[in-house]
Amino acid sequence: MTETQVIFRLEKGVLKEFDETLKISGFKTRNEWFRASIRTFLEDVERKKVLRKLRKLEVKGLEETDIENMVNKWRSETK
Amino acid sequence: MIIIDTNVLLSFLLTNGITRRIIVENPEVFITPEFCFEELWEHRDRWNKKNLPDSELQEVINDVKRLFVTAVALDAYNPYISEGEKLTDDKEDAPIIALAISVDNEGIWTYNTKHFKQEVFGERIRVLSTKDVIKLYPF
Repeated sequence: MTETQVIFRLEKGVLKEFDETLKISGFKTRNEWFRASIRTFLEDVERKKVLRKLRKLEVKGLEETDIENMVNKWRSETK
Repeated sequence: MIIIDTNVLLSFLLTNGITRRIIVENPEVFITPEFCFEELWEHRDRWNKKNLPDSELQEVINDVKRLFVTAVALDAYNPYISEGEKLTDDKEDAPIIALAISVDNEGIWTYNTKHFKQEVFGERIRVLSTKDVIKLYPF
């Protein structure tokens, strides 16, 4: 693990509330929360990238029944 | 945890609608047998209407497995395949039913309730429509 120093600027009251909420949320330290937040953030960004890729596959106007029929058709033909 | 059928998985790939929204907002919830991804790959010519090259398509499918729908390997549900086959008229649904028997789950989400009959499954497996899934995971 690489170490780096991060300085937060936060109102005193918010920091107090943050520290109190951390423990309730299951985080032992601010550092643990920060690591988890970074992972969540990176995953969110990755998911958004994949959703952008999915646009290339999209077919407009397809309903549930169209999809169901498509799958049923290839299954019946390959039997 | 909810098990999704091939048609729901295909809808996730092809349509930007409710199905995709439910899955995107609950990325830890949905699983499917590896078989469903394999089936989609085998029949990609039928649904890849935009003719994405295989390499790009494979990349998207791998991303979907990694970030949205967990693909469960055959080893996990193989012992229950024959039991699954007894509960459906369509053998290709057997892996989904086998997975539902082998892991703790909230039900099978499918568009095809003709193949997945609640009366056959009894209380053992719950068959979920899109409306049922929305009730479980509202947005």
